[in-house]
Amino acid sequence: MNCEPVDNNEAELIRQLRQGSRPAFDALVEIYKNKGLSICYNLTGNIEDAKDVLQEVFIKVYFNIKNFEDKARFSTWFYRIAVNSSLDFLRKRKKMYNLFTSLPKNEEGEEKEFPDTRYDPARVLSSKESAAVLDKSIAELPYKQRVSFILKHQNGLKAHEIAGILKCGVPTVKVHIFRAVRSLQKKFTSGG
Amino acid sequence: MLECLFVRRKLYGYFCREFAEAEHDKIKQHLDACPACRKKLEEIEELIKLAEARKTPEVNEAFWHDFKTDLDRRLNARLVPELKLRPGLIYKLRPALVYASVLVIILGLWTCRFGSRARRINIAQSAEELVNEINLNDELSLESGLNHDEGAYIDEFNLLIQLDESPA
Ligand SMILES: [Zn+2]
Repeated sequence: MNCEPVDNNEAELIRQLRQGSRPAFDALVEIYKNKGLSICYNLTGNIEDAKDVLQEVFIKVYFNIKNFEDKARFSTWFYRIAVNSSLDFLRKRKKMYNLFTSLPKNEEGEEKEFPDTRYDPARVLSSKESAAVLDKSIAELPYKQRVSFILKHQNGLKAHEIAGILKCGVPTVKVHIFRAVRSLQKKFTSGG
Repeated sequence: MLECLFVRRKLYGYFCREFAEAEHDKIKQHLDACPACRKKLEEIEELIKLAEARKTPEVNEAFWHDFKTDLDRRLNARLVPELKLRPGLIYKLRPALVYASVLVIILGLWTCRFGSRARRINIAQSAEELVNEINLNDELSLESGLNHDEGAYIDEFNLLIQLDESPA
């Protein structure tokens, strides 16, 4: 996934969006919809949920563009909103689950936030045992490890971009991913 | 064995080619000679390959069309309450009020002059009539060289849509 610095055209669109321009908003939706969908899908695990969350992301962009600082990269700001919105969505769904049952906890005592893989056609098509075990294992990771791993290995973001999204340093991101890989490797090779 | 421990902690970095050439070569030498560490590297490769194979499902034009339609609907729904609550609305509508006043004066003068022939002035009864009035205002402002404020016009128009949607 490319994340080049904001080009002039994008900067102009952002300037126009600050003044409430709908055409500028539509153009930014067009530029970021695929990248956004990919992030929301990898975090929520379901294309319809991803669609819903991504709409919310763009609405947040529309209403909060005035808070975006020009020094920052728009892509990083946008991805951060996409990640936070997806995690919010999972938390809300977890609360719904909690009304009926309590979820198991991960190694750090956090309740697991399961992406919904039940109704996803793509998931059914690739229903190899190994993929299922991996999905489950990723869902069980502590959230910063999970987000870092997914953004790097399922969305192709670079460590410095992930650092911008999680508002931490690049070495911290590398540690998160390293720990995620080690933990997945353990579960994966021992059959979950 | 101690070397194996060090190498295993670096396998992921090695896989991602994060090390300088000398370090990379050193690990490679160990891997060439150590089947156990090589197996661990293969596990990481397999894991990452599997994770990266999990692609977002292909979506078609119809998906994006629905997406955009829903998005516009949701955004518009949130923009309308914002318009209602915005304190600067009256200020923004000020140019429109000026045009309306000018219109009333001109219509008044016209009525005085052609009193008997003129039809009674009706207060706009529907959104359609309001739109016509606004259009007339626009023409008037162009004729009189007033600088029409686009933001005010949009606010005005949104207000009309609201009036149109609200029950009579
Ligand atoms: Zn070894």
